[in-house]
Amino acid sequence: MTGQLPILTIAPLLFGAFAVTAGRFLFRRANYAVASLALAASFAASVLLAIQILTHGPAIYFVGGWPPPVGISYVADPLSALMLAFVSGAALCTFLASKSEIETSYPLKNSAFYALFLLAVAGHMGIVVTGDAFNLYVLIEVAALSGYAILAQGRERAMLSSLNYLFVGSLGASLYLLGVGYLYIMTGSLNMADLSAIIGRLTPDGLSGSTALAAAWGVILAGLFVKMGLFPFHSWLPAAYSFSAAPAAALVAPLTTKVMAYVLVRMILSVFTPDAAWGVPAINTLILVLATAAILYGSFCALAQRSLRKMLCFILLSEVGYMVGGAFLGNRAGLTGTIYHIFADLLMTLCLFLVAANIERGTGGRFSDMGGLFRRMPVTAAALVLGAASMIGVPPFCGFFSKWYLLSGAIAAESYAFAGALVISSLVNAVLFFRIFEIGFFGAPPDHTGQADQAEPAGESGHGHPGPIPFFRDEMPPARLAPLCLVAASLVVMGLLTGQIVRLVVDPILPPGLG
Amino acid sequence: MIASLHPALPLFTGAALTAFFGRKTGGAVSLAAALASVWAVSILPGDGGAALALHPAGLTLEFLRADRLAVLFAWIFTISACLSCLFAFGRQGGPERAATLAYAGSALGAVFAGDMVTLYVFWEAMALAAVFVILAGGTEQSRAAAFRYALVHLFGGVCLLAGLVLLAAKTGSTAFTAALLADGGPGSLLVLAGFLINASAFPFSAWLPDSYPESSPTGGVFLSAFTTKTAVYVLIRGFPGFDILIVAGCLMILYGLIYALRENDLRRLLSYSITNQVGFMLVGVGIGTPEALNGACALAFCHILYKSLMFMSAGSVIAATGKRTLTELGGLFSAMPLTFAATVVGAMSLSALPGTCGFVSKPMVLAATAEAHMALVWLFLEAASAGTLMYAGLAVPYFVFFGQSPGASEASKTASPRREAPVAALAGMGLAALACLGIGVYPWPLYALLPFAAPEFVPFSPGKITAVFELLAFAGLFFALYVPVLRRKPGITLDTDFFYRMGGRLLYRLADAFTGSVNTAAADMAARAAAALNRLTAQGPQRLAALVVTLFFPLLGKNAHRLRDEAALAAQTWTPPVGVTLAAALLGLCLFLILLL
Amino acid sequence: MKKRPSSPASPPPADRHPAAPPVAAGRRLALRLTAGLCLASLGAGLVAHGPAHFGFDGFFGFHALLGFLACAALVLASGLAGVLLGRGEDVYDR
Repeated sequence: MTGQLPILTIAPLLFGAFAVTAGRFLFRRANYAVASLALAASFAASVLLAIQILTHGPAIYFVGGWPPPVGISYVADPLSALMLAFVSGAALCTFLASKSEIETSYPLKNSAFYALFLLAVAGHMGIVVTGDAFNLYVLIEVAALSGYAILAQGRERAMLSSLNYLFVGSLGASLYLLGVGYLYIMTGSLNMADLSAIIGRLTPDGLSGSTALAAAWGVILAGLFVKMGLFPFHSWLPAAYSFSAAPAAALVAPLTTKVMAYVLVRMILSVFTPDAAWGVPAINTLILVLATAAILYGSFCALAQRSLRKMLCFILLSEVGYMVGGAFLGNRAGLTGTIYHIFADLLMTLCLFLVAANIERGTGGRFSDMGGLFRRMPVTAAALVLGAASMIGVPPFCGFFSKWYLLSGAIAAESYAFAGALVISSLVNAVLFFRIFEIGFFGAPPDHTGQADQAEPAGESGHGHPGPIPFFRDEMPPARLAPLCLVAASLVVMGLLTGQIVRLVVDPILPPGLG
Repeated sequence: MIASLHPALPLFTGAALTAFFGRKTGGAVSLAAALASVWAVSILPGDGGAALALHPAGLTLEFLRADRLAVLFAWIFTISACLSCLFAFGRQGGPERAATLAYAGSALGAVFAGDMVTLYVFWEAMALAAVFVILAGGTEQSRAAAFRYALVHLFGGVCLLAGLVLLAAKTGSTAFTAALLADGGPGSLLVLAGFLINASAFPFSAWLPDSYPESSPTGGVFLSAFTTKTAVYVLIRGFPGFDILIVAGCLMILYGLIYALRENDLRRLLSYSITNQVGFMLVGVGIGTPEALNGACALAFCHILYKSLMFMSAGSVIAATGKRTLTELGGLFSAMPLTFAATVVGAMSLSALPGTCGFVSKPMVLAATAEAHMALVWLFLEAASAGTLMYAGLAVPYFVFFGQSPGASEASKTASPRREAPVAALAGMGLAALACLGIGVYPWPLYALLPFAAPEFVPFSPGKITAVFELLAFAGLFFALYVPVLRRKPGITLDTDFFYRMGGRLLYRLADAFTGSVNTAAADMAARAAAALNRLTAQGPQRLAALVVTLFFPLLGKNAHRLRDEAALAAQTWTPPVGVTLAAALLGLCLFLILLL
Repeated sequence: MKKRPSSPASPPPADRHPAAPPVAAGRRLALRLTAGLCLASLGAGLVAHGPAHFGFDGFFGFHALLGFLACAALVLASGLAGVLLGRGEDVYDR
C-alpha cells in the first residue's frame, strides 16, 4: 500500500472526476459528496505519503510499472511530498468552504464544475510529483485547461479574461514544450534525473558549452515565467482571477503561480543543476531586475485598487516576484526563501482568497462595502487580519520567515535593489491592509446585507435596524468558516514550525555545497 | 542573655504588631517597642565591630556595625522614639503608629549599616515610612505634601544609588567608610548629593517645611527627629572635613533664619529651624577636626531632644486649638501653662541659654570653628545664634502663649474651658524638658559617649557663660523693642519648591502645547501625504500605461492620442489586449536567448 | 478630609483709644526686665570674660553689640526676602 501512495494521491481525483461526470444525470445530489470524498482521499494519501517520506526517505513510483527512462516515474522527495499535502489540503479547504458558493455561481452546471475542479487539482498535484519532463507538460495543460474552464464562469468579463488567459497560457506551455523538445533532442531522455545526469556529462563547464541546451534553458524559463505571471508577462493574471467566481479563483489563484514556481525550482535543482542554471550572470541579473520590477509594479498597482479581489491579484504579482527573485539570487538563503515562500504564500493567498470570497458573498467586495466589517463578520475579519499580518511579514507568521530568508539571501548576494523592493513591498502591504482595517473598524456599514437572491446563510441574526449593528450580522455559516479558520491558524503553525520545515524539507534537497 | 540584638528589630516588630490594636493598647505596644529598642542599645557591646553580617551573592551586608558613633546616635534615636511614643500615646491611629515605628526602625537600621547597600535599603525604607507618616495627617494637603516628599526623596535615593553603584564599580567595595567616599569623583559626589538632600541642604531644603507641617500633631514629632539627623550621621561618617559642607551649612543657617523670621505657620517655622540647626552641624562636620565632629554629634543629640520638645509643644497647641498659624494663636498661657513651660525650656535650649542642653553642645561647634581660625565663619555662627533667640527662642513662646493677636482673644477664650494637653503628652514633654535641663546642667555622660578622641570640652567657663549671656540678652532686647516688626503676617515666603511645584505645572502646559501642536502638524501632514499618495496611485496604472504609449508617440502617427486613451482605459479596467502580453513574452524570449547564447 | 484652616484677616485693634499710651503695661514690664538683664550681662562681662579667639572679639561688649546688630541685620534681610518672595498662602492652590 505504501508503495502505491504517490499514485494514490492523484488517482482518487481522476476517478472522482469521471464519477462526477457520469453521475451528472443519475446521482446529482451525491456529486458534491463524491467530489469531497475524492479530495479527502487524495489529501489523506498525500499526508501519509509525506509522513512516510519524511521518516524513510524519498520514494520513486513507476507508473504502470515501466522503469525510466522509458516509463514515467513519480518522485516523492520531501519537497514534493509536502507540496502534495499542501496542494491537496488547499483544494479540500476551498472545496469545503465553497459549497453554497458553487451551487449559486454555477447553476445547473455543478457536476461540470466538480469534475473540472478535480481535474485541475489532479493536474497540479501531478505537476508536483512527476519526475518526467514531458509528463510535466501534459499535466500543466490538464491543470491549465480545466482552470480556463472554471475561470470562465463569473462576472461581466470573466469569459473574455479567461480567453486571454487561454491564449497566453497556451503560449507559455508551448514554450515549455519547445524547451523540453530541445532537451530531448540533445539527451534522448525525458526523465528528470536522467536528464540531469546527461546534461552534466554533456556540458561539464556550464550551459555555454552547448547552444541547444542553453536555448532549452532560456525557452523553458520564458515559458514558466509566462505561466506564472512574472512581470511583464503578467497582464492576464489580474483579469482572469478577479472576474471569475469566487470558488474558482480561490482554487486557481493560490495554486497555479506557486506550482509554477515549484516547477522553476525543480528545473534549477533537479534538471539543470544550480551551477548550470545560474551560470550566466547576465540572465541572473536580468531576472532579478524583472523580479524587482514585478514586486514594485504589483505593489504600485495594488494601491490603486478599490476592490479586495483585484488588490489580492496584484499582491500575487508581487509574491511571484519574491519567488523568482529568490530563486535567482544564487545562494542557499535565497533558494530556501523561495521554497519556503512557495508553501507560505500558498497558505496566505488561500486564506486571503477565501476571506475575499466570504466578504463578497456577505457584503460585496468593494472597499466601500466593507464598512463595519469587524462587527458584521468578525471571524472572517479575524482571518483577514491573520492573513494580512502574514503578508506584511509580522512574526511569528510564516510570511515573516520567508521574507527573512529572502532578505538574507538578497543581502548576501548584494542585490540591494531586490532587498529594497522586499522592504517596500512589506510597507505597501501594510498600507493596503490597514486601509481595509480602518474601513472595517471605523467605516459605516452599507445598507444592504449582501445579494438578496442568495440563500440566507444560517448564521445571520438580526435584520437591518437602526442602532448599533449586531455582531455576526453578515457572517457566513460555521461550515463555511471552519476551513477558513483552519487555514488562518495554519499560518501561525507554519511560522512556528519554520525551523523543522527548513531542516526536514528544504535542506535535504539543496545541494550541500550551495553557499 | 542575648549577646546583641539589633535595636531596630523591636521597632520593626512593634510596627508590625501595633496595627492590630486599638489606640490605647496600640500606643502601649509602640511604647514597649521603643523601650525595648532602648534596652537593645544598652546591651550592645561597647566598641563592637560588625556584629551581624550577611553575604548573599558576593555582597557583604553589614547590618550591625556598632561603633561609638553609631551607638551615640542609636541612643538618642531610641530615647527620642520613647519620648515621642509617650507623647503620642492613645492619640495615633494604627497606620500612623506602624509608620512612625517603621520610620524610627529604618533610621536605626541606617545608623548601624556598615555597608552602602544596607544603608541604601534603610534610607529608602525611611523615606517610605516618612511618606506614610505624612499621609497620616489626613488632609488633602497631607496627600499632596506626601507626594512631593516622595518625589524629592526618590530623587535623593536615586542619586545615592547611582553614586553607590559607581563607587562599587570603581573600587569593588561597598563598605561604608570615609575612605571609600574620599576621592571626590562622580560616585562620591552623587552619594554626597543624596545625603545632602536628606539633610535639607539649601537649595534642596524646601521639602522639609513643605511636608512636616502637614503631618498630624503627633506624627510631626517623629518626623523632626530622624531624617535630617541620619543625614548628619552619614555625613559625619562619610564626608568628615569636606569644605563644601561648611559652605552648605552656612547657607542653611542663613536660609533657615530668614525664612523662619517671616514664617507664620508654627510648625513650618520650626521646620526652618531644623534646617537652621542642622546647618550648624554641617559646619562642624565640614571643619572635620575631632572637636568639630564631636560638637556636631553633641549638637545632633541635643537638637533631637529640644526640637522634638518644640514639636511636641507645637503639636499640643495645634491639637488643643485647631489653629496652626501664629496670627491665629496667642494668649494660651492661662489655658496651657505646662505646655508653656515645656515650650520655654525647648526654646531656650534652642537658643543655647546656659543651663540648657543647647549651651553644652552648640558652643562646641563654635569653639571648633575658632580653633580652626575661621573668623568669618565663627562670626557668622555667633550672629546666627543671636538670631535664633529672636526667631524662635522668644518668638514662639511669646506669640503662642502671650502675644495679643486680634484673633487670639477668641482662641484663648475657646481654649480656656478645655484643655491642657493630655497626661501622656505632658509626661512626654516633661521628660524631654527634664532631659534638656539635665544635660544642660550635667553634660558629662553625654561627653563620655562622644565618639571622637578630642580634648575634653569645658562648657562652664565664666568667660563663655558671660559671652553667651551678653549675646542673648541684647538679642532679647532687640526682640522686646521690635515686637511689632517681628509679628507675623499671613502668607508664605516662596521657597525653592516653587520651581518644581510651579515648574511642574508650567512644564506640563508647555509639553501639552508642544506635543499637541506637533501632533496636529503630523496628523495634518500624514493626511495630506496620504491623500497625495492616494491620488498618485489611484490613477497610477492609467498614467503608467499612458506614459508607455507616449514613449512611442513618434511611431504611432495620427492614432497616437486615441491609442494613449485606450491604453489608459485598458489599464484602468484591466483588460489589456492579449497581443501585448504575447508580444512581451516573445520579446522576453528573444532577450533570454540573446543573453544565453 | 479636613481642610487646613486659613487665617482670618486681621482687623485693626478696636479696643484701644488713640490717645492711650503707646506701650501696654505688660510690655513695659518686659522691656524693663530685658534692659535689666542686659545691664547685668554687661556687668558680668566686666567681671569675667573669656579669651579672645580672634583679634576683634576681645573688646568689652563685643557680644552684646554682635547680638543686637545681628538681629537688626537679620530682620532687615528677612524684610527684603518678604518683599521679593512673600506671597499669599494660597499661591499654590490654583
